Amino acid sequence: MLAVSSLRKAFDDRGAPVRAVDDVTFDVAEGELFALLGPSGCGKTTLLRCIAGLERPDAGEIVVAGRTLTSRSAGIDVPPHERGLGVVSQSYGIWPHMTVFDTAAFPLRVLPRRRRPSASQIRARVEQVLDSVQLAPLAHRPATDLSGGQQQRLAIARALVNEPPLLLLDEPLASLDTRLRDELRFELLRLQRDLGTTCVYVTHDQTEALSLANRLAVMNDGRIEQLGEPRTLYDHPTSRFVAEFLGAANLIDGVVVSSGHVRTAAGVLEVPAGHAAAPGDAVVVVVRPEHVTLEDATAANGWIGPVEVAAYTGDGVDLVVRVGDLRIRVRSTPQGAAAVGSKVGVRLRSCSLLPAAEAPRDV
Amino acid sequence: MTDLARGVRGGPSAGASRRSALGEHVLVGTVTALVAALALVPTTYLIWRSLTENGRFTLDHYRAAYSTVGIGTLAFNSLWFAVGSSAVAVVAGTLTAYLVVRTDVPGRRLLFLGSVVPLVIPGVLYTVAWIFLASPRAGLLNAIPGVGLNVFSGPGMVFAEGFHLAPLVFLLMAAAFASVDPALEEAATLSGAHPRAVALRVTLPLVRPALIAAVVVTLVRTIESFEVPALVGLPAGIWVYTSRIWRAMSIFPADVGQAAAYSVTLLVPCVLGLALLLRATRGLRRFRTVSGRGFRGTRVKLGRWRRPACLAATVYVSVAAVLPVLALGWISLQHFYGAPSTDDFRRLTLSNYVSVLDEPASVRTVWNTLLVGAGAATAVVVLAVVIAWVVVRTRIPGRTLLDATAFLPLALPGIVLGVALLVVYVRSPLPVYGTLWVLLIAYVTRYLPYGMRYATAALAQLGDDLEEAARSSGASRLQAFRRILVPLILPTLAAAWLYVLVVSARELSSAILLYSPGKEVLSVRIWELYEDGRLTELAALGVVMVAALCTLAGVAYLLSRRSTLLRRLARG
Repeated sequence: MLAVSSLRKAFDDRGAPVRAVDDVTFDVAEGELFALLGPSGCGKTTLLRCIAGLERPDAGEIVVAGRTLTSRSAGIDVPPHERGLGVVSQSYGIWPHMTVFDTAAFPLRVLPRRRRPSASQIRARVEQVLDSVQLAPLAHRPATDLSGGQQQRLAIARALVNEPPLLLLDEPLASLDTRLRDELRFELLRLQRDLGTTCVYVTHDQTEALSLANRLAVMNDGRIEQLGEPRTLYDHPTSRFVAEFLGAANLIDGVVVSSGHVRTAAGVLEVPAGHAAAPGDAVVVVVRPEHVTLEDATAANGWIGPVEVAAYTGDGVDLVVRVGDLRIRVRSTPQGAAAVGSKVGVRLRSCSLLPAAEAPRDV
Repeated sequence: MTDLARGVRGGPSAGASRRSALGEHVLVGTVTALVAALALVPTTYLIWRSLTENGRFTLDHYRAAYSTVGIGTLAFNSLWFAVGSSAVAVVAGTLTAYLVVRTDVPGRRLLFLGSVVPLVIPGVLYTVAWIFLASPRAGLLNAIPGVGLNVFSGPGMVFAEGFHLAPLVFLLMAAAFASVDPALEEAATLSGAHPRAVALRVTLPLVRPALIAAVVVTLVRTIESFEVPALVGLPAGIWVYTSRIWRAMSIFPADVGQAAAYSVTLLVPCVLGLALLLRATRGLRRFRTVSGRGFRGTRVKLGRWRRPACLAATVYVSVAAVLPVLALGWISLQHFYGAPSTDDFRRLTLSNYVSVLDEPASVRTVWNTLLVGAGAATAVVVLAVVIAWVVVRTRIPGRTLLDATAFLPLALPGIVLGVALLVVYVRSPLPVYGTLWVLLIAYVTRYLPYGMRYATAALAQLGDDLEEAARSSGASRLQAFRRILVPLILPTLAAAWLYVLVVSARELSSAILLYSPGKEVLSVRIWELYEDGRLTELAALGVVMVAALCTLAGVAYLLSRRSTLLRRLARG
């Protein structure tokens, strides 16, 4: 449905070029929700704006549903209004001089005359799309009367009104408060699954990306660090950056002693066999805090140490346990409380390996 | 997917987008050519004219201009007149702005109104009003025992000009004071600073860029001022550059070469001033501490100074705004103009209004003023919106140059523009000279920078996202411009339109050299009535004009307030 290949875009920052998008290639399948995840300034929004046609890339191609929208080598750059995509920006771009209805009807009303539907067709379609985002009762209110969450839904309705092949969403939940964000996240998921619209979803929030996306790409410094299904990226990150960005992680330095065993500062760990590292290689063992349990230290991968920090968070307890020179972060159940200073046993139940020295990136 | 969607989507031909891109280039090209013609052609011709005679290069005009007796005095007069009246304007404007915006002085609304009213009164009327008030023999104030004012003097010129310019400083400084974050002042108070120390060591440094801008603006405006030097300076024998240029053009035969030489000299400080101003206002943006949250801070408690401050401000506003208007009103009700006496109270008449408004010449003048003013306002707003859009929203190369060119006329004194346009259009094959068109060209040139300021501010305050949302929704650039941008900035544009109409109606210095008999505008008509000594009728016409301009300015003010409201909505 969407194919982006070898896309590059650099900005000039007071003489120094900044590579906002640096040789990015990916495909999105029909009906998929694809997330672009990364810290601010990683180039994810620039990438989205290139797809929307709001920025002109320096090199590369963008093809949507078989139609080439951008190809610098072929000299094609379809202007944004002729791309026929749906776009929801972070600020929503709600026009203060229009009603809810006018806002949603705008994309139909600005179509060239010969493709423009009749007034009654427009009314029917707009009512239908407003209904699907539950704004139909507010159709004749000024758009700026709406609450933040309603404005976001209106922006989605406007983006969907001419049934675009591809919907681009740029941090659509970022300007809402936490509770509303959770609610709208599921609402968005329901809408997308119901309509089957292909989406590219840009966010800096790993919870959003992990919970919404069929597949996601983690971006850093204009490049895609890793691309895959949420579970794969979370459990088997291929770089320190991805491991740390997707959630809290214990990163333990070690050396491979044999296939399946790594020696660390606190003792030998059993790791799943089948990794690429050979004996003698320096590696980093990645263990998520929720994969560490408080239990008897005699089992495999069990260590003992004093509790340094215990923080109650309502739905659990975050602990730091000191084992030799290592500090192991543990995510425990509310019942699993342990007093600071007391010795506890920790067991590392699941882990994955990273090469210790990340290959230097070619610049 | 529904049938509707299938009809809706799909790629239009590549030809369509190429056509719209071509249309854009044509539009931008046309506007650039127009702006260049307006701003650069007159200046170029002026410089050329000052260096040639009958097409041959010569320095004679400069030699003649600067070997006249008293040339040293001319430069010196121009300097002290500019410095003196700027000082009056900056001190009066800044102090009243501080009192009204930042303190709990009583009667702030009235003080605000009184502080801006002189802005609406045309310079020629304001000057004549001061002649009514303080001429040595017939001055109304001189009727008070013990008062002996003479407006036809150095101090008279300085105060008449200074009071007329003070509202400009007031508006600049009021905006600056209002944008100071009250938290910064509170922090100083909580650190133990006395209110006076807070004002001097926190507030004043924070508004310094605006203050610098105010000083530069008033200096440039007084250097180019024409009305006070001509009406008050000449009878007192005090010559400055502008009056000298006017004299060189009004003798017969007119010495255009010499006028051009003086004009080019006058351009130098004005262009320098503009360059300085641009630098100062760049600083202004950097210093801005509060974004549109509106003023909510606590006001400075004046305590026992509350009454004296109020009294001082009231006296100032009475002298600068109320007395001139009252003088016009009083003289307009007299049978004849002469030394004031108590008998005048028993001989009031409305006959001046009847005679001056009944005259066909007056009716024609009002019509001409409206026609040229509305034409100039429309042209300025259209040009300014397109230029501002190109400058703020596009990445077309050369857009900064376009911006600078559109601002250039700000440095062009009215009388100099008059000389320049005369030089251009007397020899031009276009049948412009001797018609209202030449006045229209002058006004559009002169007020384009003001229109630009409105338009760029309005555009800069509207986020890109509103237009981008339209573009992503399938609107072309022109559709986004027409359906999103223009409706949103319409109130601002309407305010700009009225503003240009008002300032066009006040304009005299460029019109005085460009009008021809039968094609007078109101300000020129007032000048003629003064020359003819028909002072009571002049006063009547002046009162009507001030009333009309105040109404227009009030509407413009309300419109621009509405647009701030709209902007606040846009921010959500």
